[in-house]
Amino acid sequence: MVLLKKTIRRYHRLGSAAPLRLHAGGGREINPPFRLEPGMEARVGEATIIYSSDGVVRACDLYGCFEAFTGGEASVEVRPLPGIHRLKKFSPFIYIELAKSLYARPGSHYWVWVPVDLEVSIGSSVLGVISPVQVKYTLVGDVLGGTVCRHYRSEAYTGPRKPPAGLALLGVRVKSKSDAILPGIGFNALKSPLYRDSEGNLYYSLVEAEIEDERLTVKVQEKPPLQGLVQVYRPRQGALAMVQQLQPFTASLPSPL
Amino acid sequence: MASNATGILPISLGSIGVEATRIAATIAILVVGILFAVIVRLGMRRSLSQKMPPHVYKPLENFTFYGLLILAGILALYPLGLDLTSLIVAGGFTGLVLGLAAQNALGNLVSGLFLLAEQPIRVGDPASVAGVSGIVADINILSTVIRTWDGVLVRIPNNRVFNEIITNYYRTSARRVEILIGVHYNTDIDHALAVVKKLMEDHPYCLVNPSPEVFVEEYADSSINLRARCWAPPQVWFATKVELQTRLKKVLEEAGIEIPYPQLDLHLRSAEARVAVELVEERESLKGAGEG
Repeated sequence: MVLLKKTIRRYHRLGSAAPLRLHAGGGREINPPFRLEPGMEARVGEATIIYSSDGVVRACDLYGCFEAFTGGEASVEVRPLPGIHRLKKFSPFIYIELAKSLYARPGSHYWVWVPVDLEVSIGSSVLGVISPVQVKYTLVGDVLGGTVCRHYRSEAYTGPRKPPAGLALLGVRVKSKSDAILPGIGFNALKSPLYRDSEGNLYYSLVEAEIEDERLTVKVQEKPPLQGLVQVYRPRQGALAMVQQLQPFTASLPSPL
Repeated sequence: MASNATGILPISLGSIGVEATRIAATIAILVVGILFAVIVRLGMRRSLSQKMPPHVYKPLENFTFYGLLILAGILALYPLGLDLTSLIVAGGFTGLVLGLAAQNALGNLVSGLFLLAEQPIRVGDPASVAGVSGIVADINILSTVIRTWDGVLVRIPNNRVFNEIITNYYRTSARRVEILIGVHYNTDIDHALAVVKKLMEDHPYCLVNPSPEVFVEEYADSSINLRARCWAPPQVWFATKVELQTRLKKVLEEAGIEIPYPQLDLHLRSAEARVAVELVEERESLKGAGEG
């Protein structure tokens, strides 16, 4: 298979949710959404998607691969999903452990990096989901009544710092009456649409963190954190039918020493 | 006579006609009621199964279905001239008789209702009930069906389920995986602990919090025994345990850490002297045998 290099031709414009089209192979690292034609390949973080010229799609992440034979007739689309689908969907929540505890002041705005998953599909048929980063889970709450959340460890930033491919930016607005120390931020990722900016960076919806009586409640605002972003993923209504799926993230904050 | 005969006949026919109408009405109510209950049950199954997990919609479906059947049964008695108050009075006596006759069935029914209300186990839960372990396949009004790990369906009367100890492996957010491994006495303990801990930290299902832990369990005869613990979601507990156990030997070997066989060191005191005595004795006995 002949692979050409530096081949991304972006014929999308800001304002269009159409996937990027990788012109011909190359394996260059980019963020989804994008489209692959036979003979092309792409890499997003630790995930690779190879669409061979004989019509076989092979997508791999750190935990396995899946293959499908398409006959080479259709193009393969890779779209971003909230990072709760791979390896297993235990709950709709993602918990971002902050590398350094955050001193959160009322009205302040912070940014963290959050993993996304990649949905590989042809037309309306989903071939599978892969993860561009290592998958870990954590328990928020106690062993009996807590919630298992997808886990990621990130620094907190005061501005939207460009993340590596496979990670999206999450804007957190602190909405509380008093300041607090936050060890991490959790949110309901299933409710969150995903957005993309002109440079291909991905964003989750803006979330609001309310701290009251040493309890953190994070609500997804379902609106872009910045102006001028294009929506590239919208939560499916069927997936939101279950009661738990609609609930905001809540957790007790650790008691002061 | 004729007039009498003709007089009696219409009355009899009339009463038969009235009775037939009432019976027909009763049967019609029962049939319509049963059909209605079945349609409602199918409708609920079709609409709710997409939106709710089985443990939520199954009890709802059962309650509605059996409730409609009981309602249809009560309504079907009205055309026969029986009203609910007389039924309740009669029901006291009937209930006593039925209760004695069908004690087990009623016990199962009541236990089934309690089980549906309390839900100590749900359809789809891995559980152990009355010594039977497996996945709960169904919870009916009279019995609970468990599919054992080797795929056999076991029906347990609800009465028994209600009175036995139930172990539900899903009704927790996390379950602990434990592995005991022995390493050679020559092993650098800190290195071994670090290798085992990293294995668990790299495993996707070993939760970050509560964090994995490894410690020296005991200094055994042939090995230093390490105990490794991590918490995993109950849905993947078994897979996590099996994977960790499988990979543990490999990572220890890669790190140059030996898993020892059971061994016994024998120390003989003044062995050389004893061997020399034995040799002399053996030589003398051979010599004696040769002379003889």
